[in-house]
Amino acid sequence: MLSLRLIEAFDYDAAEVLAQGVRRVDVTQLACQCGADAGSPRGRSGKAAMLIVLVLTAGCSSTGLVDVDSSFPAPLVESLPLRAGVFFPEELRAFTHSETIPQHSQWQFELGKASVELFNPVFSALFDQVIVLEQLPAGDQAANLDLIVAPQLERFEFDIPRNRDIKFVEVWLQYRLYVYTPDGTPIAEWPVTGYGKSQASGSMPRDSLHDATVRAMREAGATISIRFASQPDVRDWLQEKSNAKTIVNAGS
Amino acid sequence: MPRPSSTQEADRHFPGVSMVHYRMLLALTFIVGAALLSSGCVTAEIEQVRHSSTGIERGERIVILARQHHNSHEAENGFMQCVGNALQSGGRGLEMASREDFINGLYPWFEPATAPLTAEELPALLARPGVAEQLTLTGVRYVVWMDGSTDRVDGGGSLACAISPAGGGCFGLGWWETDSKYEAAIWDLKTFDQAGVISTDYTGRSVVPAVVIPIPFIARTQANACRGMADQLHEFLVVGDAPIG
Repeated sequence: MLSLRLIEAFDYDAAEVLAQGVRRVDVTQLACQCGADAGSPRGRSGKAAMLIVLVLTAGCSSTGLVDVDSSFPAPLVESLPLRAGVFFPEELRAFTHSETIPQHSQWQFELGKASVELFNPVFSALFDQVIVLEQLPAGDQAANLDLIVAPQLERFEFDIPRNRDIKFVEVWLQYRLYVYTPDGTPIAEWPVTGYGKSQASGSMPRDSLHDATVRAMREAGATISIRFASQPDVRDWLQEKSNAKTIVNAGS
Repeated sequence: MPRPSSTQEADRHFPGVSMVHYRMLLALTFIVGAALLSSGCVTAEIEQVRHSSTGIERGERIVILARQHHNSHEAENGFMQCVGNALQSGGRGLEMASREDFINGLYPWFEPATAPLTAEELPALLARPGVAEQLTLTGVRYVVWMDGSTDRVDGGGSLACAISPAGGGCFGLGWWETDSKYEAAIWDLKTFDQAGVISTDYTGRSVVPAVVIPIPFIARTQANACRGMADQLHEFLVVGDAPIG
């Protein structure tokens, strides 16, 4: 006999499922709450019971793939009068994060393509001219540029609800922006964080995690587009550059 | 005169029904009756505070945005969609702007970390390059900031189900209470001020009695809050000459 102790100290989610009809039952959710004792199946009924057991237990350990695929808007900011070379390192373009949540689920996030999709409009709005570089230039190959920016995604964390009091999935990530002069001299190294949360749905909230990740990336993009020029190292460099230009102009 | 036995009574009212089934029917009738008396009860509290006159002209639009800077809650997408649809549909005919288009068009100024928290911040935001022009393009006159959520606040009871090759069923009674509490702050982009605040609080108790078949009686607090909020917003925006205070 399969006994399904649905509600002991009443379970709101299960009742909502009942209220909404059988077609919307989240099999994964029920499977993790049930204790299955298949016994010896007899005839057609026994096979049906076995089938139910198999279906109910199928979702207990699963892997979720979150392939972040989104377009990002161009920031509405005033551009800096600079020619920037942007280099997307292979580590960024192929970034994946895998993590197992004990006794719950496994997750794999793919953020490489989406990160490039995020930075392209951000840097295009931030600088007057942007050239995407295939590799970091050596010597004076980049003499026509004012600066080179190379972003990296160095940390990614997420959390999903494991009790009913928490209704959100959360994502936290940290990019690091490396800014160089054309000859490779470091100008600034700036960690930029992003946080996103989204309402969780079901026990495998793939769409919610996708949504939270996109929100976190958007926040990081917003920070870069608003605060890039006011970063102390960048600000000092811009000031020096502006002074040098003034001197050159005065000399000519 | 001898009193009829339960079996005789069952035979008299439902010929052919056994005593066990008769008792189950009685229990079911009692539980359903009790559930009907106690469920579907939704209590509502609505408050409207007006700071300035409103009114909406043809071509002026409204956008509903969720306050996202709290860690603990955020107005559900479904609720915001429901309020937007209610304002737009029927004879109301208010023109709604797409939330996604509005936020994307004004990126990065309406992200959770960068969005203005008070209407006093609006002039500084509109002074930024391109922002005022973009706002004009959207046609949005009112921004409605929606805050709040629907939460389960209490619950109890016990409900168990069993399946066997011979059949299955449930028995017991479960209940829970939900609270749908929302607040809408209405900003007027024409006058750069907060025109007013509407708050709604709907609480209700849902019950699921089960004798073989569970019969849910759900108190739809969120749906009621949606209707209540939409009615109030419509009145607030359209009846713009209502007394201030």
